[in-house]
Amino acid sequence: MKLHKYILMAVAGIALASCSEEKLGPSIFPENDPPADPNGYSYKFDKWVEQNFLLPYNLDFKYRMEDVESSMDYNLVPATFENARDLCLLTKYLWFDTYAEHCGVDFLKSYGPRILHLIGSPAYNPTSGTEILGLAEGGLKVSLFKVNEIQLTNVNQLNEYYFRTMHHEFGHILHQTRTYPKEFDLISAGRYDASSWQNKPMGVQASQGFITPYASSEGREDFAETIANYLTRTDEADALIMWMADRGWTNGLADDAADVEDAPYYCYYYLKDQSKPDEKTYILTSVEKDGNFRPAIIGTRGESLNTVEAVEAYIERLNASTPGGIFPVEDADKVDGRAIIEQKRSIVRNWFKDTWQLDFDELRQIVQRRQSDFDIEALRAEIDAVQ
Amino acid sequence: MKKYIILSALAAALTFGACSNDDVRIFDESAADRLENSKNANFDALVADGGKWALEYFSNTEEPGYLFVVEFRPDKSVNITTDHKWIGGEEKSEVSMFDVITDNGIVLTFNTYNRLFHIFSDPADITGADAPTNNGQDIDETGYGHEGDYEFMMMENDGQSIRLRGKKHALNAYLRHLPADADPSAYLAEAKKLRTQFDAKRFPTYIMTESATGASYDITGLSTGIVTCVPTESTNPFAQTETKAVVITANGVRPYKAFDFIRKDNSRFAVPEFTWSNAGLAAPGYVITAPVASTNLCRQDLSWDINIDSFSTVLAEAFAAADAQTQGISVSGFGNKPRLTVPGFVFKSKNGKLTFSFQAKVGKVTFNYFGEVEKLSDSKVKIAFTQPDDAIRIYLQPLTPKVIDFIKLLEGEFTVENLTALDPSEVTFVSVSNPEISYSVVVK
Repeated sequence: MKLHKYILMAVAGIALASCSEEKLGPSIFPENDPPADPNGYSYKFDKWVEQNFLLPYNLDFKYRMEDVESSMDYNLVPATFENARDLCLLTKYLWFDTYAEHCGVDFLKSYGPRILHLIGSPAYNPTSGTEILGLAEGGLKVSLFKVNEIQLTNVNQLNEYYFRTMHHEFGHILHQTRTYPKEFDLISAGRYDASSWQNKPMGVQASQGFITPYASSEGREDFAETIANYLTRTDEADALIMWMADRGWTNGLADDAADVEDAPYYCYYYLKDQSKPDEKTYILTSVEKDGNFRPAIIGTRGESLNTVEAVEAYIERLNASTPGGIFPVEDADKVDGRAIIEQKRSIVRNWFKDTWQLDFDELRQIVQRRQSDFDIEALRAEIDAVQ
Repeated sequence: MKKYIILSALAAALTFGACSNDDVRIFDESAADRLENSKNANFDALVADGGKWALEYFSNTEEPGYLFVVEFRPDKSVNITTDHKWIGGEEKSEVSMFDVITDNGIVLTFNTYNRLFHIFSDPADITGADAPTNNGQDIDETGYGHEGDYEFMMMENDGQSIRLRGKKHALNAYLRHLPADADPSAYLAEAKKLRTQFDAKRFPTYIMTESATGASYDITGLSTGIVTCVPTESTNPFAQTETKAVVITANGVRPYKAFDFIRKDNSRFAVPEFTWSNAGLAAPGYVITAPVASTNLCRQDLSWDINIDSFSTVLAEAFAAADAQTQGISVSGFGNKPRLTVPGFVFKSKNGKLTFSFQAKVGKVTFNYFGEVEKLSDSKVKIAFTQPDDAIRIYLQPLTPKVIDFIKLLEGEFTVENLTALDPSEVTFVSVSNPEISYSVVVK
């Protein structure tokens, strides 16, 4: 079985706009370089991009692959024209229009990336079993991967691969422009694990106060993940993560053997064989995303349980049908995962308000509304209407 | 000290020289203008005269090359047509986009994903029946895929062909210009016909002949696209074997880079590509052909059918007479009207004898004549039928002398020749003593 965990990377650079108060000027990209060719295959789309990204946001939307814009360490392929077009439309609707609705176009014109680069495939790292979903470079450029796998009817997948990534990368751009409070990094200091974060399941990470496994890799990723997941995750998904955060975990080893490498991680519940009272059989696992790209508790027969109500009803049935009942795993780490996640959100909320004059919760409401009501056909019609 | 003074003076001269304002223009245009002009010229060349090209492409050196027909259009779209095995072997077309850019010299980029072409660059694991294995275990290519390029530096361009060089993996690819009215389907079908003519099971080895020395080389792998060449009867085949991935097109056989063949004396010679000709797969000074017919006829692992439709007039008349006489007899147990059908040579390796057999249609009884084939030279064999089986000897021979007459015509010395230089599956026989007797046999 192949295990791939997703990475959303930020490469720090000089944040060009960070300290500048200069008046917003025209695009830094030549408007007509090259001019959209009326006879060109992609004319209407190119013109739409020019009108909706280049002119209002000073943003070069690179949907045609330029490998010099990406790392040559990876084998990558372009996005299909059709998928790039759809993702471009959704990027405008779900990201840029969200901020425009909340605070006007100038915010993203000032702080948004200057280049968005679409890539069809993921950037696999076969050695670590990870793949890069997004990459933010120096506050200037955001690269989005896996565009060829877009599923327009699955908002969970859209969030997982693209929009959570976009908000994550934009979070990096924002904090690279104006840094976030250092107290954020101190909350989980000592529990970050840059090298093997991918080996711990979602439940363990949530119990330790991380909103995703990747958030546990380092402080700045934690910060970006806190932003991106709060904005994009549905109430149901968020509640389930918090349910995980409230519960314990164990590696199944005695305390004095707790550091054994490759020890398995167990969460939630166990049962005992009546004939072997000293042995525990751990049940229920968690995943950051199931086959439908939602956080899930996985039942004893592989069932995917995506809401707190479904999980608790399942546990009740399991408890009733198991001789001797089932027992919760003790929360031995003594970490209140929910409280930590809330504490991090609070810092982010205040940082948005104090530093950017943005209402984090209202922004979330707009994102949630837009990702539930977008009409791709209507959006495509905007391109068709270009003269 | 004197040396230091001289060096100092020299350094000063060079330093000041570097600051000279003399502007000696070697080119009429600036570097940027020349690059832009070259880019435009290359774009124009791609879309000129219908913009149709055969793209001979290699994703890596471990698997065969693949053939595409690409139609570059002035609107920067490209229609790609192919029939390679990774899309199921059926012809498909898909439109995507291309451009000529200048990020590393003049570069041709296929810059939006095309399912038929970029499959060779996709870093996904390779799946399916043809997925590479190691000791029977599937290899996980996640992160690598086929490792093919989709951005190419445009190298030599003579208007009719362009050598491309993959920007990342540095393998050559080739564009060969096709006429504006070229039909991609017909071009691919022709290439497929040529590609699939090679029968690895029956004829795994072909022969390359070096005209200057007469030396011969065993060529294998033409059917798989991974060609190996070793001097015939080499005493050091391990060191003298050259292996190259090739693409087989309607024009010929092209390796990803020139073959670097090794002679028995370990000297080397290069062959960039072979082209189809009546003489075989030809390159200046070299030709690849099938093994001579006489050799194949004497192989004990092959069986051949006589092609009745190939009978010369003399032979056809004799066969008709024998058939008519056979129909006229009534042999108990063989049916009322037996006919000569399904005749064929079967070289039985068990006893090393050539067998001519035919069946009485109604009775479904096989009658055999045993004989021998002897290779007299590369182009000549001798056929002799000497031993009829008991069924013939007892039942048919006395009743059907015209069958015997017919069989006698198949005997004797014959000039034998493959149907074409590269197709050993059918061999023509022409009697040395009577050129009016001719027929052919087809490998089973």
